Amino acid sequence: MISKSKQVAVLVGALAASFNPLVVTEAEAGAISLSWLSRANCWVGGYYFNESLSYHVGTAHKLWTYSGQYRGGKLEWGKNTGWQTTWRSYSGRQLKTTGLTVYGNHWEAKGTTMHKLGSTYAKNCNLSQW
Amino acid sequence: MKNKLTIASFVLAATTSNLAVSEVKFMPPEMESVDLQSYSIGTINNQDVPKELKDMAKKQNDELRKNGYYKADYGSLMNVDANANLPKPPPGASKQKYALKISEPDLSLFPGAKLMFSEAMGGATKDGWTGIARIYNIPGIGNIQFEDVDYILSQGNFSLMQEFINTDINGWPAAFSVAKENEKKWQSELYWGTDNKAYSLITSKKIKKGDKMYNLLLAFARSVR
Repeated sequence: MISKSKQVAVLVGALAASFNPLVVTEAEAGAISLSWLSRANCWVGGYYFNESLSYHVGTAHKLWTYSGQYRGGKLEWGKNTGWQTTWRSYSGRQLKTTGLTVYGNHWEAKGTTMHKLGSTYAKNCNLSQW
Repeated sequence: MKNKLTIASFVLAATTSNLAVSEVKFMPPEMESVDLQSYSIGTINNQDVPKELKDMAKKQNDELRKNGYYKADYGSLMNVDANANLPKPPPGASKQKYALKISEPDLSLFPGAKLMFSEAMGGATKDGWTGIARIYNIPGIGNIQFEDVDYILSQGNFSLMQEFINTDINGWPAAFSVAKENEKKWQSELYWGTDNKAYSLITSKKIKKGDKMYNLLLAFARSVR
């Protein structure tokens, strides 16, 4: 059986071109494997979302995510998630103001490997165009 | 040079152990250029992670050596057969942009093989995604998920726990492991890396080292270019 959450994720990603950047972006990747990204100043529901996350819909991993958020070159906010067993490791916040740059660091640990997945960077929310 | 020899010694140690199934024929020329800041083989004890994670890895390794599989946490295994049949994006849906140079298996070695599903993975960068996951149906083994991530483009790194190394892919150290969540849910995985790529081959089948499916899995991995 295909899990309902995966069907929803893939269908939403394929069909909802620019309906909701947060949902569409996560559905573009991560339905069958691990993906990670940062995004900045994503206007959704009256707020600007700024976040770094790693995710794999329906499959738990041991993940750690850090999001550092800068305004005018100065660190305004930063948060580590610590190690979590989860399908979605998330560090972020929503604001009423825009103008942030977001840097993310992403790690994974399992038996065979304990490594940094990567670093991500965003000044805007254009991911759905990819 | 010292680092290169260190990697070689891990491979040789692994392949002469009782878990070994293949011999290292040569060292790949690419290994000359390995950036060991990014590519590393280390012991579980030397990892900069909490004790809980080291204990998890040690337990998995002990179980793997004793039983041929380790007990996986609930919800941590994939269902590759289900993923192979996920709905495809409709024609006209926007194409993903990829930053990586995509590696290809030599499907001509596997008559009847076909691509079932493909999706971006890895990190999102301004140039596109740094990885791609594809599911192939290979006669004799069924659905296998092939994950191809450029960890350099991702600004990440590749690491392999020395204790898990039990074979090699074209000279690169590799770990074959089997995980069991319950009697109906298994996952067999082959994991290896090169100087810029991290690769995984994953099936939802219980595969034993040395059996026909295992040999097909290795042949698929060794055909990747």
